[in-house]
Amino acid sequence: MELSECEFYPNAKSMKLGEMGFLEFRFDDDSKQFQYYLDYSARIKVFDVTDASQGDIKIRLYQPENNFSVEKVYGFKANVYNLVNGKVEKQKVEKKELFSKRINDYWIELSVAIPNIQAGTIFEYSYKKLSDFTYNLTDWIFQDDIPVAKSSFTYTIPEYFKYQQNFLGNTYNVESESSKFEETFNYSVANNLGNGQFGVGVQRGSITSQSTKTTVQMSNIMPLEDEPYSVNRSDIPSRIEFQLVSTSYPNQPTEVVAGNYDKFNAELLSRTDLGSVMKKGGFLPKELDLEIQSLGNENRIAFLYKHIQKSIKWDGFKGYLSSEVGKITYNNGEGSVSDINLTLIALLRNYDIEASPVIFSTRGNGTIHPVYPSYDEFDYVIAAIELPNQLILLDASSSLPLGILPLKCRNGKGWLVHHNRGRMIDLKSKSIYSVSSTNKCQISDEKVSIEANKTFKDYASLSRSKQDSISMVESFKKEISNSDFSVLNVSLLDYAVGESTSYDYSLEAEMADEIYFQPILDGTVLENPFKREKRTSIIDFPYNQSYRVVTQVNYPKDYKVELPESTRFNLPDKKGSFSYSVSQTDGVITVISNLKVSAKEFGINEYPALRQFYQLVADKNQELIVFTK
Amino acid sequence: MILRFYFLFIVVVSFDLNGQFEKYLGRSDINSVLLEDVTVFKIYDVESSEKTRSYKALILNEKASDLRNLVLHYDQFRTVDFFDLKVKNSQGIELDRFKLRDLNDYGYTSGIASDNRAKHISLENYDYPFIVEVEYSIRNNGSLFYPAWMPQREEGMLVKESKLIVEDVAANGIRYYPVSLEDPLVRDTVSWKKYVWKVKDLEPYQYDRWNSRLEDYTSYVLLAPFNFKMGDYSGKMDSWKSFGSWIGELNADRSSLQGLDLSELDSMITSDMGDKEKTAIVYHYLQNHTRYVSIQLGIGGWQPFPVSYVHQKKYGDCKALSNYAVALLDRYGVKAYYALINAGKYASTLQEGFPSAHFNHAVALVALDGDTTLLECTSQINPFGYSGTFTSNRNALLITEEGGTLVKTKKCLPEENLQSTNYQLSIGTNDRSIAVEMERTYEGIAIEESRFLSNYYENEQENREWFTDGNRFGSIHLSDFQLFPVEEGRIPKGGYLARFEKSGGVRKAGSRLLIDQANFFDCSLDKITTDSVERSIRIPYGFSQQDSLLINVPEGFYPKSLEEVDVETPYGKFHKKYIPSEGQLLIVRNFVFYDGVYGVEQFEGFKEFVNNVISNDRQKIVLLGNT
Repeated sequence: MELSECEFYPNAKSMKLGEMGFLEFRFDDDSKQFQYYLDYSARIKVFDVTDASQGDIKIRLYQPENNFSVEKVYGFKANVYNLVNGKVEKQKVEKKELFSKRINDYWIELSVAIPNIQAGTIFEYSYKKLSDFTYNLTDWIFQDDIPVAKSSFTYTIPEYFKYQQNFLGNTYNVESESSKFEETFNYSVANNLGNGQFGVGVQRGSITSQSTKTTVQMSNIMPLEDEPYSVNRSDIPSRIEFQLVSTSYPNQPTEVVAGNYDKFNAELLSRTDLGSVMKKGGFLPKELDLEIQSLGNENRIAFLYKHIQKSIKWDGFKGYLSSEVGKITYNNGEGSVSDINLTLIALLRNYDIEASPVIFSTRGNGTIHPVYPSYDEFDYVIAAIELPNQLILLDASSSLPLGILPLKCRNGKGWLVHHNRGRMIDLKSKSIYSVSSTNKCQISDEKVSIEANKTFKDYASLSRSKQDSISMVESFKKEISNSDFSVLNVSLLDYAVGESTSYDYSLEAEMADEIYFQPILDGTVLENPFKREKRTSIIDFPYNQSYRVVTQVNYPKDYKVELPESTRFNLPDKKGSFSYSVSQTDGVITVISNLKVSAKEFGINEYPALRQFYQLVADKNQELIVFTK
Repeated sequence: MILRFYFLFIVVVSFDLNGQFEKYLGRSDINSVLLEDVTVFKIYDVESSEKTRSYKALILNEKASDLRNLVLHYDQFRTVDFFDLKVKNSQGIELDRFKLRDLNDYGYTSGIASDNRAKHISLENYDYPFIVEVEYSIRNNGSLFYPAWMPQREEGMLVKESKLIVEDVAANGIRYYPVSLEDPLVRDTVSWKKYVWKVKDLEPYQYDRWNSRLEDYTSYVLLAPFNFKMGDYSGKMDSWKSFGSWIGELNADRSSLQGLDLSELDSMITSDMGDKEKTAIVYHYLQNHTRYVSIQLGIGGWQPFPVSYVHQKKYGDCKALSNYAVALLDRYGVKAYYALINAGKYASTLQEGFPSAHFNHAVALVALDGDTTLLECTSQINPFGYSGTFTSNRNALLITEEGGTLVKTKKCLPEENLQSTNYQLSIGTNDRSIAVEMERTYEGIAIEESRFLSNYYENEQENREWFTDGNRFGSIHLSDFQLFPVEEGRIPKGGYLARFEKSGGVRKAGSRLLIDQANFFDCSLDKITTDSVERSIRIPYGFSQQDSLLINVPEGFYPKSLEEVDVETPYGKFHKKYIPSEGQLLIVRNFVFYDGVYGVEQFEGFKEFVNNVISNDRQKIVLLGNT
């Protein structure tokens, strides 16, 4: 109670003194299956009263309506301890202070406000959970937003279950201890005489298991930080995740559930909501069918992709499995990502195109494990078409042109599901963000005028394409308006969604006796986005980046000119390059700034070099030409 | 050879063949058209009423978000009884149909518990333009709120025709507050009255950057009852006095401190202390011992927890905490009042002539030193006496023993909202590195700038990250960062001292060194690029800046002279002076931006003032070499 600060992280306003979990299996007579039981408790100390909101506790439970599998939380208890006049006073939280609310069709939330939190308060809470979801048990996350003194998880797994246990996230020292433990499961199930009849009486019995009891523990864990360009926050904390590999009940053969990707691949192919649906592609009306038959491969792909995009609206839900592939979704006219893209795959296959599903996790949802797949890691599926020399990726739930994926898909690797060519593929391939600017400047005695063009390609174009032409012009005008120039005559040249957006415009400014002209006006990096000195998470870009600015300046022959110097420098391992070249011929100055970032991920140890690279680029791009009359 | 005849697949082009919508398609200022719209609000008795709306709209593009995202809120006092939505293409062919059971239902609150739920549907991925025909009805079992009628609910919406019919079957009478609308057509039936408002051909609007007052854009009417009932509580709303009495009734018997252990406070407060000192102690006690938790269930959305609950649990929402504060102050002989207010930086004020339940927050008000001081009881970090953009300069409903009274909360003047910065800059000529010492203070509402006040209460590492993330130089090395203690009061004061270094911090141009003033001075306004405005310019909060930059001019260099600026306009003042001396250059800058309302014809002058300040601050200071 007297602890005044967190010893290993003195800055903390609160800390978790301890956290404990106990997991074991139970047999449920009603559902006739095993469940896992978790007993969770945590104890938190609040040092600074402005962090009292640590006591606002919310627990979410996955409980889809109309689903038989269930998770139940019960036995919630909480106590608060305060030092009053040198004595420790305990206050119990009452049951009626625990609220339960259904948030939507899939989730409910339990919430409670822990009372009486002061500077120095310690509160603890515990609850029990009984869950049907044994295929991945529960993640145990050691690391949190506040420092954790000790986090310990003890799990007892019966011999009938074999789990893959993966330690993920930030690495800390883990203490681990394992032992054998004999336990008995009693069952009492109603007699089933077959034909749906239930007989009188029950069948009772018990089975014994040589279970394995494991305790994993971590101590003095630092809190998580929020940093820019850090996309998959859920990947970061130290944690342990489980994936059921196989089950072998007494008197029954071993059933392999999942393990490595090869096994997972085979599993997926045999599922009625993934593998089997790929042959359900014969649902188009006859007239269309005939028309498609007359098209060549390339045209077929384009036609079918556009047709699915137009025919089926995305209802906003993701996913990678579907039981409504083909006719059902097509006639319904609406579906989830999995309904739509699996239907597209089935359709392409129906017309002899080598299409397969690629399953993965979207940006922000974490990345999939490279060796041990887990069903709940994946949240998306797209179509991959294997052509002799390229792989085309399609997401028909979007309205984008062929081959352009929504940004959320550009996340690490995805698994291509195939009976003999199943493999990891790079979701960030051919992912580019590119801006190209040209400025033609004319300097006279009265003014500086510039005819400029800016062209945004690929993802740079994508972020601009959601408005009508007038507001695109207006917002572009605003974007370039903070320069020292007046903006005139902005016009939008044609634009193709996700491919190219281009503007022509003119700038003008008054000429003084001496002017300092920045030839690289915009359209590239002019400010360093990496300001902090330290970094604790991976830097993740969804695409390669290219920024090119070409400026030409014509000026009166009798003017004096002082030019910046040319330079070039690179990031290590060819991950990026920058060149700045200045040349002059016949009274025309040409300055070219070319920045390329050719890698999409940078590790923590690459941060100092990355930060310095961006600073040098920003500083160089801001250099000036001096014109004196 | 067999000739085959294919059935040609005709691609349906998405413009209507109907013609009647063509006139809308060409206009870039229209996102949607409300073609027909009738709302019927039927008042059955003092407690129950029903609102039925049926409308038809043409949606032209995805910016029409209000019509594409239908949200119907409900709670313990409201039920959505009926819903029918038809989506049709521009030729009138039905594409989709949704009924009440097809809607998503979600409960939402960021707090711990609430009755608030909503039925919701989002219309995506239809070819534009498409038509929606909607009909729904909501039953109300509680009359604290009557619906507001605002047919033109978002930008870019053209309203062809829209009608509100209020049927006062209960014959209790209604009050109404029309804005840019004529008086209603009132029809008498045998026993009750019917009120009709109609609008036709309302042109679409776009929000101006400088005006967020709904009254200046569109027509609407607010409705309210004379007599009302919510849960077990009945009241009269025709005056702020009587409405205040109703609130007082809800709050009654919730202020007893009997049996509670207040020894800690009792020991801190002595009878010889003045009211201000006592209030400060009580306020700090609240901040150090209670926190904000939102639990809004049933009439509890309107009624505070009793003070005994707050005292035991050490939490409450704005109502409970304010009520608790008033009870504690009363114990020590300081007269304070519970008050209701519409809080938020751009929230509208309560109307003197139209009492209604139009507030979202509760506070406590105390008269201290002849001034009304507002206590923000939900914040553990708010400086004592400070009101800020959340609650300043607007009407609040004071709840007294005699009922309710409107009082105006104080306003902070531009000179009181002062951000003041003193820089010292040294330059290394070899590598153009810079070393900066910066002392900044924030006064008045400036303390909200860049989240300074919330950052102040974070730990040291976060303080430093806050500064580094917001700095304009880039990858600096922050060698020193110290926060000054915050001084409380109606005009609070806070600030920091920072020392940092960076290589390449000044620019080179030939043999010159260039210092960007924009890295040191920032008027915090955006350059104005529009040519005109259609509505008056409203600046709700004025502020001022006082800066100095002392440059240690490196040896071998001297500064090029720059012109002094001294400007005074009806919109603000700007003053910049350059004072060179031996080896140094001092720049002194003053900027004041007034609050006020300016007419459309003043836009040119306003724009010129703002843009001149921005471009002057972008000037470079040139250090020339001694050759």
